[in-house]
Amino acid sequence: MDELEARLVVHVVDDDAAVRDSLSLLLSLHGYRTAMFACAEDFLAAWKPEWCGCVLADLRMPGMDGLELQATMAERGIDMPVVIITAHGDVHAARTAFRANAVDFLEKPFDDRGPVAAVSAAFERERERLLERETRARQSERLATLTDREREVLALLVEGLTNLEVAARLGISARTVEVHKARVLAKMSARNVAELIRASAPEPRAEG
Amino acid sequence: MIVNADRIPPAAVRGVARAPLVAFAQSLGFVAAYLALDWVSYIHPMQRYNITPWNPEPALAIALLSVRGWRWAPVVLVAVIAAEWFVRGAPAGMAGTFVTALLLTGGYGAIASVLRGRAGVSFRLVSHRDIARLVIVIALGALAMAAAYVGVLVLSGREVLMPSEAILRFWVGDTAGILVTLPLVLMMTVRERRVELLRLLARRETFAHALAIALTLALVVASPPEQQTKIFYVLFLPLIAVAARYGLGGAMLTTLVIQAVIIASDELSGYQVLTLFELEALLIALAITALFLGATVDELRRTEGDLRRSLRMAAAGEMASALAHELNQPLAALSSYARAGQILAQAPRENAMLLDETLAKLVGEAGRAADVVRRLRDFFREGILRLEVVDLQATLASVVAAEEERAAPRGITVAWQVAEDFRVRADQRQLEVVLRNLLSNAVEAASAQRPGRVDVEAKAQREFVRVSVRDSGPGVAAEDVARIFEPFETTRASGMGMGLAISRAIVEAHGGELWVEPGRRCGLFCFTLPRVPRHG
Repeated sequence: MDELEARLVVHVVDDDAAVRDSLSLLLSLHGYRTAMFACAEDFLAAWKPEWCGCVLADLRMPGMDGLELQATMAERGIDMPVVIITAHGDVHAARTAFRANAVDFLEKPFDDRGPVAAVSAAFERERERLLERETRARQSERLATLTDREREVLALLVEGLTNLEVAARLGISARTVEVHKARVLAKMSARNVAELIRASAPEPRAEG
Repeated sequence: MIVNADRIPPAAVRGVARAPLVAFAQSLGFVAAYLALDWVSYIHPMQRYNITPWNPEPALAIALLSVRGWRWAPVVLVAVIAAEWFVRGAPAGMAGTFVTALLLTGGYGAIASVLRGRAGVSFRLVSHRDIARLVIVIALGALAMAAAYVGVLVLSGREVLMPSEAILRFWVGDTAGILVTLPLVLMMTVRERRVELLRLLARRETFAHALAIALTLALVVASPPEQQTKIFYVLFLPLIAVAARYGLGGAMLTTLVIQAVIIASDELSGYQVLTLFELEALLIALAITALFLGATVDELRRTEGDLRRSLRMAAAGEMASALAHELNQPLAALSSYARAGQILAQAPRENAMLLDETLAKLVGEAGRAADVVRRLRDFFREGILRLEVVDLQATLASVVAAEEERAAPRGITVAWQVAEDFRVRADQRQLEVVLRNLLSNAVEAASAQRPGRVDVEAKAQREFVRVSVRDSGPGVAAEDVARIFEPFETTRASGMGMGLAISRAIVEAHGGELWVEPGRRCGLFCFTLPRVPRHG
């Protein structure tokens, strides 16, 4: 966990040098690591898949604005949490941003809660996301160890078929199905079919 | 109660002492004016009825009673009796004269009180409603008085000849006289209108118009009598020109001049009474045209003024809100630096350097906030819009030079070209805001791909100058054209925080237009400003 914590970085994207500088100073004094970008395009160009943490983006920027950055990130599968900084509680912008899964809105000038609280909430979400990603990775590693036949059995079991039905479908004996099932459970380190189903459920997608 | 006499302002004392004197003088003045007008217009009296084809003097009586009320009716009565006696020779005898004078005074008073009361006509004559009611009240009032006047004469057994013809002539003569004179007299009672009329007379342009009127009048008057009614329509031309240019005041003044000249020429050459009556009927048409056209022009001009004023307010509002938005940047930085400072101050010794640095930055941001406030104050300092003759070329040169500093490091060329040495009527500061805004947007757009290019061009377009700013950027898609003018549109907000909405509001407040030409290959923003012709 500590290793993960060290990888979390606040990516500040704001066209105003002073806002950028002051935010990064304040956050670093609270123990956060920060990276600064003068515009959305710079951030996207520099982005690497292993980056994690959160993005603090200004709503109004020359060129690509905060909402457009958020949309582009979603398009490219960059799913770091986004906090939009806005100078006026623009209802329309807020709606768009939250629909696109923004964590928070930070109003300029910053209120008492300030950027620190927003970043801490964003990191909370990021940790959950990273943990889930890790579990998922482990799961797919396990899946890779299954044989073709075992995978077929797994697919049918997950669909909700009984052993007999699986046997009929695959044209094999019920006993053989039993054997495959036991091996699948062992390899996937699941105790029963219910756990199997949970583990092989499709990845949840963020939807608006 | 004891009143200290010293305390009463001397003017008030004099005012009280003088009031009856002033009223007496005014009454005398009125009676004299009434007599003079009646004497001038006492031409071609219809036999025994003493009905004349042109009666402007009732307008004076109606105006007096409209402004002062029934209390002044005795003065009007005296004037009417005096006129009957001295000008017309009192054909109805002592008693008859008194009865008809009472009748006329009552009629004038009734018209005046309807105008003031039920019809509620504003003497400024600012709306179509006022004009329509004025015309209707005058026409109906004159008809009623004509019927009553002739009726009394007939009933008293004195006159029985052609009563309906007499009523018609009385009606036409009074309506023509009142319709032309009353609006002018009423307008003269309102200070604002008086000033407007005097200003009109002082303008050089007025001479040109007067000349045109004189020439047309000469054409009509010089033609043989039987032709006059046929070419009378020519007189509508200068009237329409004057009404379109000066509004109601000018139109009514012109009508009065036309009427006076036609009457005078008739008097000098002794034409047929019938011709004169026909001309008077035409003059009524002319007067009604003048009234409605003048009121329309006035109304249009007022609406235009209101619109421009509200656009100016909108521009100011947009500007204020854009600048207020801009204030948030330094304030956000200020609060972050201050919080950082708080944390650093917990261990001042270890953080001495950083704390010092942070506090210096904090001061810097405070200065920046002050700068925005100063800009806001500059904007409002000279009222909202201060129009002056601005040298477009010089303004453009200075704005482009400033923008080039930003553009050059990004590899963008900014070029400008002015077709001639234009002068525009504009607020220099606001014009700069518009140019700076369009240019910085263009530079921003052009930086999308290198090498970028921005071209500014000024060309004449009828009475306007058209300034176009073209950039080599991606352009604005047709479906985005309306959206980009919305305030706080974020797609391409400039660092200044001043959107296109404010630029458009400013240009429209100047009487111009600002628009974008949609295109895929390049961005093109244009605006127009009224051009000032060069003198010498």
